[in-house]
Amino acid sequence: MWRDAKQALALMLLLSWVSHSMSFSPAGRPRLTTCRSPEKETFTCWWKPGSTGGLPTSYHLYYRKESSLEVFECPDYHKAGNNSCYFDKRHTSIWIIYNITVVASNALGKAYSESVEIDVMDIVQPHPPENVNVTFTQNANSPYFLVRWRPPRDADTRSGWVTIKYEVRLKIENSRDEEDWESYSAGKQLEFSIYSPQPGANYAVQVRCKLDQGLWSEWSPSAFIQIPDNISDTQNAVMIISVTLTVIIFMLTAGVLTVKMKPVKHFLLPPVPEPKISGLDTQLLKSGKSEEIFSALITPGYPQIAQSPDHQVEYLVVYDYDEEMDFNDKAHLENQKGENCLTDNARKVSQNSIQITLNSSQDLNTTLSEHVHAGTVSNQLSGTSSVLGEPQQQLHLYCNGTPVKAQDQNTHMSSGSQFEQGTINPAGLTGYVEVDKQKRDQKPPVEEDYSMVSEVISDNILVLQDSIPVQVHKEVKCDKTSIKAEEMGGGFEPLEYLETLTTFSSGS
Amino acid sequence: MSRSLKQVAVLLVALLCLDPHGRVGSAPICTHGPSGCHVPSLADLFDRVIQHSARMHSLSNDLHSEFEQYFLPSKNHIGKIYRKCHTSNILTPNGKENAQKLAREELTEVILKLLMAWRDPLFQLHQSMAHQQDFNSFSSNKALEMGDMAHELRKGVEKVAEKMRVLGMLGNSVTGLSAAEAMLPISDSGEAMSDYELLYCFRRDSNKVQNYLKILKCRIVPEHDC
Repeated sequence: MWRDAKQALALMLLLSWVSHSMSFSPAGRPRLTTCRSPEKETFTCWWKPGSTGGLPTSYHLYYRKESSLEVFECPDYHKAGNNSCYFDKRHTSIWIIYNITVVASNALGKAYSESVEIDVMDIVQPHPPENVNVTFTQNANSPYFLVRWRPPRDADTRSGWVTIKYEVRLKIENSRDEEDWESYSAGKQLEFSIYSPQPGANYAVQVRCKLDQGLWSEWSPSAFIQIPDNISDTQNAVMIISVTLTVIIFMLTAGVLTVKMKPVKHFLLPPVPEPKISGLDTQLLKSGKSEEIFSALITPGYPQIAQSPDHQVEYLVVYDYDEEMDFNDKAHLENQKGENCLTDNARKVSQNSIQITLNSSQDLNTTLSEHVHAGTVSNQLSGTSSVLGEPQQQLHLYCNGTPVKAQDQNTHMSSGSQFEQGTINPAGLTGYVEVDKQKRDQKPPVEEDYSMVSEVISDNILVLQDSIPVQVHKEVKCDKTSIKAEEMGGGFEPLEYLETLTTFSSGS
Repeated sequence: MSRSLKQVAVLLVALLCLDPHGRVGSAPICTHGPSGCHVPSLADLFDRVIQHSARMHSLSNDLHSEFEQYFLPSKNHIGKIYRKCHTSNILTPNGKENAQKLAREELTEVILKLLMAWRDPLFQLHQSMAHQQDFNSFSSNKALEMGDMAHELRKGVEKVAEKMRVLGMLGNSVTGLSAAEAMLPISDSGEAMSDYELLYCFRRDSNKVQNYLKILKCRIVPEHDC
């Protein structure tokens, strides 16, 4: 007996395990998705099955008509495909509410869907129109294309049962955008004209319809049409003539230009007189030999600046009052032993400053003449050309009193780079003249040596005579705080430099 | 100056009408001159009437959906009205074939019965909508317009029937209009129908009227649009 019981128990366990592992379950609840009538005479309902529970499940649809209790079953399960029920004309009544339910059943149980109530007059949605075709007509001055279609197959307009209204939409085929469709209402007609299409465009056209106050159908498949590129003859001729004329004019102009190149060029673009400093050869600059440069600069008879420390070079402090920095600041700066003394003077310098920029060929004439009334001091160290003519310049780099190697100077000068990189940029007319090197006094030193003054060109400049002939040294002190040092390439210590501007004694 | 002329014209017309020779009969006052008045053909009459019924149905559609939207948001398809409309007693064809099987006279009679049955209920509907604060004035105006339209439509269909009779298309069996006048919107249970129910029923009935008229037209004057 125990054995039997054990066997029974084992069997039960086995069965339950089997069914559990196979996970059979009663049918899941189906759901009626949609019902549609394409012509207001028949209709179809579709449902979505729930879970089958692993067992073969069958579906049945039952319906009741309004205010009647009699239950009917679906007349046709197959005509409209899987999971559908088709009500033919005999079984369809308009203006009556149907109460529809779907039942799913399998070996383990049944499941009822939610009931749905419909009135056929509310679910009318026709098929899309058929045989949509488009033809292009090149009318004399108004090209257009004609869209034609046929009504959906099953809609009965002959008896007046339904009235079909159509809608046309078209778009240019290049864009993939859905919003580029243009819609037009076509009323009850079976054709529609679109005027003035874009030449060369490829259009896609679709049509849809609706019955009375029902739902719109789906859009029909697209019909395509390619609009030819040609335009009307008169326009064509005009275009050809204008193009030809343009070409002729163009060629004439080109011919004239080639023949009379120079005068035309001079007429249109008058050449800018370039400042020249005689003696300064840019090629020499590039080569990087400082001695040669300076020897070129120094012409016989030209006063030289003696470098001997015992020979006091007297500097005149020259100020441009437009400068930001004032006298005292300058002095302050001068005294500072700055490391990074890069010339970022352009930033601080006013517009009036003289700039020796390697990469620009400014007309320093103008700038100089404002303040210096000097000769043609042209500091053109551009890579292009222009030897520095008279007056010559001597460029000395000084930082903290020690002369900088000319080598550096050359590199700076010949680099042709931005002046941030430490090209010799005179800060402008912020040269100053020192009376005494040791004194570093910013006061104009001329009390002592005023006798040596031969000429006063301006308030700022005193031309000294004698052993130190007309030299106005302009020393430019770098701003100590200029941070541009980091930006510059290496080898920029020392950053102070002195720019010497020599002027003609004869003045400008 | 022109005003006095108009007055003179009116007086003349009045004199003509009071002609002692006793010209009786309603003739349209045509001021178009020798070309005469444009007497609408039966097809034109049908077109007007059908357009009218389409407008009426679309009005009732709007009102009904408004009502559903604002007052019964939760009820989608469930719980739809199951009460009988008061016009359920009128036997109406429920499909195209049934409608086509009916004779012209019967079809015309059905249309007229339906329209007659709605004369009073629509008036009541407008009254009740106007009194409720829930409806805005827009909706109650629509209800009023709907009632007027139904009235006009009935007159129009009567004219059409008259014309058909004159033309010999209709037999003389179109009767029974008076019997329909006594209909009141009382549902089975004896209670008055609610606004929503009335709207629903009228929407359905106006759709019927529109469809029947179209069938009638294409049966009688199938020249165009059919």
